[in-house]
Amino acid sequence: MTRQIGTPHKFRPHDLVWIDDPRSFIAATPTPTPAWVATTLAAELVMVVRRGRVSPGLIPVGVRGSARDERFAGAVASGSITRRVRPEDLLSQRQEPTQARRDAMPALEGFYAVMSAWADLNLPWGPVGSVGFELATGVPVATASSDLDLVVYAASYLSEQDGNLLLEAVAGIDAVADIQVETPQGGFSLREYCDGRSLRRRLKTCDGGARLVRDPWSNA
Amino acid sequence: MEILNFQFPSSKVKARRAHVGVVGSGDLEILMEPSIDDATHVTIQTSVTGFGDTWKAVLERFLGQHPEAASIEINDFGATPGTVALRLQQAVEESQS
Repeated sequence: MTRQIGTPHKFRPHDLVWIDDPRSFIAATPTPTPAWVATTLAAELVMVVRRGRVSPGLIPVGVRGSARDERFAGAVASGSITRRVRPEDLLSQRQEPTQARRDAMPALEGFYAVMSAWADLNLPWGPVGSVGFELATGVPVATASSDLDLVVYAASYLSEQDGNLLLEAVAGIDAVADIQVETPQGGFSLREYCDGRSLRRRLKTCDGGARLVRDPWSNA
Repeated sequence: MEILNFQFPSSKVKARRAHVGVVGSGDLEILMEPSIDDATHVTIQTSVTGFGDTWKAVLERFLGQHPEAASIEINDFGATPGTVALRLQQAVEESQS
């Protein structure tokens, strides 16, 4: 049995956080901040908690622009965060897209299909990526070619067999479902975990790096 | 979408076929097979254009450590150079296991 290791702060990667003032955002690199960052933050003061190493009291975050390559890393003081939406919160409370939008964006429609398919799943899970962002903010960022990015929180061991059941349940949706499993050690791809090809699989670690591991729940 | 082709001289023969990685944004899929000549051939299909020099540098570094002749097919979805290096290492591990 793997022991649950406490996170250094209550915010986890993929959480969306709103801050009090654009000036609370601290850029990660000294390079000039691109113009789209200010435009984006002027519209909505929301950012995505990311993996990364930052000073105590700071939360690593990223600003998400409208284009695919518009991602800008930084940090915010936890005290400047006014609101937080976790992926699992979006199962019960969200900005509902119109039916027309759901029909046009397979990833959005796929989310509703997964909600039915995983209705009995007793692990916390929710949408992340463009679908999660759109459902949390109402900003229409999902596109017709968006993947449906999902996160499942597995504090303790999840068997490949159970993982395969989750994958089978989402196999019928029209979008590519990219499912990330979060353990206390980091995040891994459920598809890779279940494909049975490699002994060591990629784990994205909490400090922002990645390594190959045999057991994504073990610190070893 | 961009397709890149590279060829490097190699000295050893590669062991077995390996297939690693994931189809998904920020990640990549690698198919590695033994090559029938004394060269490593790499074909990359990537969703991000304009990074030919970065790919060449990552591959040269990798092949410096693993000079086995191989045919390598890469299907990239915007992975970082760090992820590419990790996946190449994983492919070598799998082909030797």
